Amino acid sequence: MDSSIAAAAKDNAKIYSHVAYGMPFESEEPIPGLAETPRQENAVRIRFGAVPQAIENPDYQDKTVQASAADYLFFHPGGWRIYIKGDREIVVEKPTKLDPVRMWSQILNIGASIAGFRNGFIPLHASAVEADGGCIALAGQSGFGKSTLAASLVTLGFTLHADDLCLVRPAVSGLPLVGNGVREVRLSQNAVEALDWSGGGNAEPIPGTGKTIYRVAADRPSLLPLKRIYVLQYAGETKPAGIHRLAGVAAMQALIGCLRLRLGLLSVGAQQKSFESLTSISSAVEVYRFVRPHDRRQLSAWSERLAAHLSVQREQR
Amino acid sequence: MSKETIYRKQPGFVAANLGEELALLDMAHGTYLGFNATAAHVWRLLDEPRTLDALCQALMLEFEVDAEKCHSEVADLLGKLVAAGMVGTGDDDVA
Repeated sequence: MDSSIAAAAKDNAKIYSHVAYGMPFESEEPIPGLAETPRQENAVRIRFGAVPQAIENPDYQDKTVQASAADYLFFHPGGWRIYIKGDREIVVEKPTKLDPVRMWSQILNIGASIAGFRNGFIPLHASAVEADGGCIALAGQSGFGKSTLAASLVTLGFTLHADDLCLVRPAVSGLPLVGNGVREVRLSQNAVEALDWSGGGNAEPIPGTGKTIYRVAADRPSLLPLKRIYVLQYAGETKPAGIHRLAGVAAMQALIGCLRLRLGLLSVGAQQKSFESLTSISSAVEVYRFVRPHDRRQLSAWSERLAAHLSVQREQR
Repeated sequence: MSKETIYRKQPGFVAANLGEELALLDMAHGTYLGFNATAAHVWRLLDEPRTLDALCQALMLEFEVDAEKCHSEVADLLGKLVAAGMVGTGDDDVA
């Protein structure tokens, strides 16, 4: 096949369109867990192919990331790489050993975070459930029980909106919006037992992690106003359990602590746009610190307390 | 610094109100700064270059604070802002 025929054949290849976290994606392969959608302009294109070995003169770099204003290169510990060019193109060096579920999770999380950030969205390390005509985000870095708490709220009747990543898009006026991710939650066996979790949908073990993916709901509104952010922490000697409102600089500091983004990237590229997005979200959304005991036996009681807090705050408005 | 020293904001900072408080972006270094309500008020007053006396007169119109304490605390804040390169000093062009 000569090169022009090869190019034509590639042009005619099936392209799969999806929306994840409120962002349109196009991919050479279907993305598991996401329904196909009509093609949209300005979709982020995901393709598999050759990835640069390094970025020239990066403005930021650490052991696993190199970044400049236009390029982002992620080195996965498993030996494969994800390259993001500008805000519209993701190139993946396909791993040979990683299972597709984990591969797509990494591509979507990193791709949506970086491409979204370059479009002025703020990637929060958060899970979200629908509540009060919008959604609430449960934010915190890894290990603070975001997925487990979200699943616990699902058992109380809330609907899952996103797990592990909320891409927050600031609004010109009013509340910012958050698009749903894949409708799935990842739980350890300990969490499943603590929740007495029946699954509620498809269950798929993630090899090598001790966690299982549960797909829990579908066909719900894609973009919801973000009503509140609860920043998750565990109680300690100097940090009593409870729910406390944060405002002003403290609210913004708490959000910065929950970014699904290396902090060094805030100063790469459109830093003023990122700053304005963060301050806009900090001002528009109610931010709370939710401090609870680090004890799964108390998970149910504290989930009910959070649900009651949502209800009381709604009545007060 | 003398009584006639005029303080003025340096360029390169983007500010956003967070209620009474203020967040600032240092464009040169890509760093974020947070100001409490008092520091935020002084920063906003420095939209016009002012002397320490002029700043305290404006503050005392809005806050119940005695002149000595106001001068002491604002002078301390201005010293930090000057040291951080956020505020410059001069002896003319007062508004």
